[in-house]
Amino acid sequence: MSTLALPAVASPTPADLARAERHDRWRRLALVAPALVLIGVLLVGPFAWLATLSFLDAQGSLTLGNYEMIFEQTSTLKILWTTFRVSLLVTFFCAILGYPVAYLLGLLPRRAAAFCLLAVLLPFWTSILVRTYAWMVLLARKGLVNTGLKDIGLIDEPLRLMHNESGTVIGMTHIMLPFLILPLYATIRSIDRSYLRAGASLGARPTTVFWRVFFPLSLPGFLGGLCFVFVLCLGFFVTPALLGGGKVQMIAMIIERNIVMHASWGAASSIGVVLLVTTVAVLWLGWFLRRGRRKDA
Amino acid sequence: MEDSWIPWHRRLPLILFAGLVMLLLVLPSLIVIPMSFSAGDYLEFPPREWSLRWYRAYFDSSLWGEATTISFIAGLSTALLASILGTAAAWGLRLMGRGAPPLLMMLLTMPLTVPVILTAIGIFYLYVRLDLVNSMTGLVLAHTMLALPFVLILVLSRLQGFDLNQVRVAESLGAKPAKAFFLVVLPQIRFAVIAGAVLAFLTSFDEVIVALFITGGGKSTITRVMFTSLRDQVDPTIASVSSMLILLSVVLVVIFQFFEGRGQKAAPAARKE
Amino acid sequence: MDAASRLSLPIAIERMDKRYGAVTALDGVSLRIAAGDFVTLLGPSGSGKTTLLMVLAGFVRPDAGSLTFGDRQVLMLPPHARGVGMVFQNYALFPHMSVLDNVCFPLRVRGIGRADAGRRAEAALALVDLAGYGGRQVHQLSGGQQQRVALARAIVFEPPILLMDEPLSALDKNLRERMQIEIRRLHERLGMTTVYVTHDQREALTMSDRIAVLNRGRVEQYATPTEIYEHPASDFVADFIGESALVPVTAAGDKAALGRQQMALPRPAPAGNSHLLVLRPEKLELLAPGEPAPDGANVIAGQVRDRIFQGDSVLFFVALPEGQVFTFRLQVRAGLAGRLPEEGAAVRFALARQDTLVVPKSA
Repeated sequence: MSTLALPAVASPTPADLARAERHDRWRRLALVAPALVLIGVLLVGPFAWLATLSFLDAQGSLTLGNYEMIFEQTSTLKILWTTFRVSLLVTFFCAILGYPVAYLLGLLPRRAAAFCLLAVLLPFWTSILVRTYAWMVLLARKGLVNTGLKDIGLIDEPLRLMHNESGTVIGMTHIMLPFLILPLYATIRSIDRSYLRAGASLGARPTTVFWRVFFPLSLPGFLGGLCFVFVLCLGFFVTPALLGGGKVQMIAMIIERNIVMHASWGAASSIGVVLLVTTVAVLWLGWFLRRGRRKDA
Repeated sequence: MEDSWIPWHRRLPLILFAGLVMLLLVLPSLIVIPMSFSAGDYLEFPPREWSLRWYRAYFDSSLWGEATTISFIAGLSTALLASILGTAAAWGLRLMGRGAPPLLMMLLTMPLTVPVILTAIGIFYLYVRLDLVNSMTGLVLAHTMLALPFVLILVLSRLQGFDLNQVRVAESLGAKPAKAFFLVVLPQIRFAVIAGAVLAFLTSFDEVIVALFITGGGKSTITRVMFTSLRDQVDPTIASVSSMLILLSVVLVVIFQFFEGRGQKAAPAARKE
Repeated sequence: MDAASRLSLPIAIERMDKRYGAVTALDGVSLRIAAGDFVTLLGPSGSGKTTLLMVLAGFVRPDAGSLTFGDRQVLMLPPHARGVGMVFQNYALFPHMSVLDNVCFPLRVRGIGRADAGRRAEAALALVDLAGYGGRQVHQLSGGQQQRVALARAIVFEPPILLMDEPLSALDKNLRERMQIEIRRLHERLGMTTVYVTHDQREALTMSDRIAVLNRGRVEQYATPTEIYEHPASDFVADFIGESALVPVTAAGDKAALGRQQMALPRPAPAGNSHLLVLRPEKLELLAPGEPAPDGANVIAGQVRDRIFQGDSVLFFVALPEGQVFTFRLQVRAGLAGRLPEEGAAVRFALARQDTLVVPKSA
């Protein structure tokens, strides 16, 4: 340590003290530095580089051509619209399926809740590929769902459940649900139950208590979770690529195809920039909703 | 029920609905397990005949074998590296306290918020230039970056309840900062660090997209092999691989929950003192 | 471990400044602490007392100033190289170690072997009346016992300087008073220079050789407890120490006037434009109606505004003709009951000339 070696008699000048203070601050920053460098070099740097590329043409001069292409080609616009629609649908299904689960978990005693939470955690921890594969097996033409429905006489012809949008939405909803339930459950757990008893003791009907007191209190976590799910859907690759069977094109897939098949970095990066900007905007919205809510609470 | 402002029989619809959703969350993946013991050329449920055929196929295949080795090496290295870097960063942030620039936390959690497809093409672009494509070093570094935020968040949340006076006292009693950390801080946050390492391992082991771009051929990870197989021509071996992956997840969840629970139990006790 | 074999060091703090943004925590603080003294830093929260202690320990770096332990400038030294023992308000024991390992800690990090360290730790535990508690876990101890362990851990390596940051504030009143005496006794026995931070004036008066009263980052007064109590240097000190009421007076030379009531001062009033008279309940003597004041005493007349029965005493709120109110406490004794002044009654008090304290009014 360099500070040890200083002469012991003279009193340090303010400049010495300020230097030592800076030295301490740098030492704390040095602990964070390796992680920061890794993220800077592998994430921020390359993407900034690619983002720059998206504004250049083949000759290296400034252009908006890549972006014009996105918004002029109907095929790209269609993909953007599909991505948006699928993400919205998945987010919607997550909301109506996930809220009751998180709500019930919040009502259960802690021990029972911890046990039931395993039902959410286990899929959360299972590889996305494995879960997507499971849905491929279930939704296939001769899959479990179709044979089951046929056996009980509901259908005569197998339904097309896979390699289309419905299959993609089903699979993605299954994968995204834990991402909504877990944060929402944490929010619901932290709601002060005395409000509810107060509401009930004032003679309010249970449904009134729920909609007027409980639901608004859970809203920040709910909206935050929904924004997060929506953002994850926007950039999702694995499940739409497999369950969509090439028939459902989403943003992540054209980015991959642009690079792996066409090696057109400019096109891929410009779509990437659009995806990133949308992601940041939605995340910011989620953050803003949560914060705004907390303030007037 | 903890609060009883609604009679519980009126909650029956809720319980049934939520229970059904939870079943739907768990069951689909579990279906794969009985199917993997099928004896036929096609997978069926329930299997008409049981056998270990597809497990034998997995263990006899050099493709799956190599991929498994690659995934384990990458996962373990990632767990080690991410837990070291993540813990160091968390400790640095804790020491900075409120003086930590908000930008810092935003940067450190960026791998969680940026869509993985963008991370993947960025890394691919960089690795092509650094000649790191298809290298274990490149794979581990990329996965470490992706896993960092998990370790950071777990360790940092444990450290928020940690009384910095303990470190001050240790230092004034003669311990250098590093020694104070290893003797006083690390023993108390070790469960969070281990939980973070487990999560980092799984992040690496299950990662598909980055691996899809930067690995290939004999250097493919198990998930990459699975993905290409699922996209092109479904090989029934995948059922046995999936079953084993589910088993691995269950084991890791149990380990994670154990360590995470221990860490949280230790926290309030430590705060009291 | 006794005073004779121990090295204790004097501490000299010179012109110490520390700002946090717009807030001045230390404003040119200078303080000399003699070797072996027990000095208390006393002040309200935000006065800078804890900042000053943290500067001594090395956790806060001042913007300017000098700090010497003996003839060694320590301001640039990190905490671990300063060799001071430290006790925190919340004990800061290491919860993952046994009591003995906690106390061994300073010795072990100094490279002392397990057996030797254990022996010395046992001795330190015995000093704080915790002999035989070494094997316990920290959470099995009561708050008072934890505080003793923290104390043993801070003195086990025989530091020449011991720093304590409100160590007793988490304990209940009885335990606190007992620990005050024990810490004081331990200090007498071990003799290390001790700097003790508290906001409790009674604690400071009980324990200290000298008290430094801090206010807004400055040392208002640095003197012995008696001196601080009997001759507060400023209205802040007079107000902070004891149960005082401060009443504006006009003073010149050794005369002062409280409204129309003239009084004689024991010595010329300190310089300054306006002055305050320090009225402490225990210095006032209630005069029976018509009773003459003792020789040379000043008389203060007023009217009982309110009185509160407090068991062993009665508290009177007395209003002066000019409107200011001060308190007066009368011990309840047999035969006094009928003579207690009623609300609204006119009362007179005698205040000995020696106790007629006048302090300058700060801006």
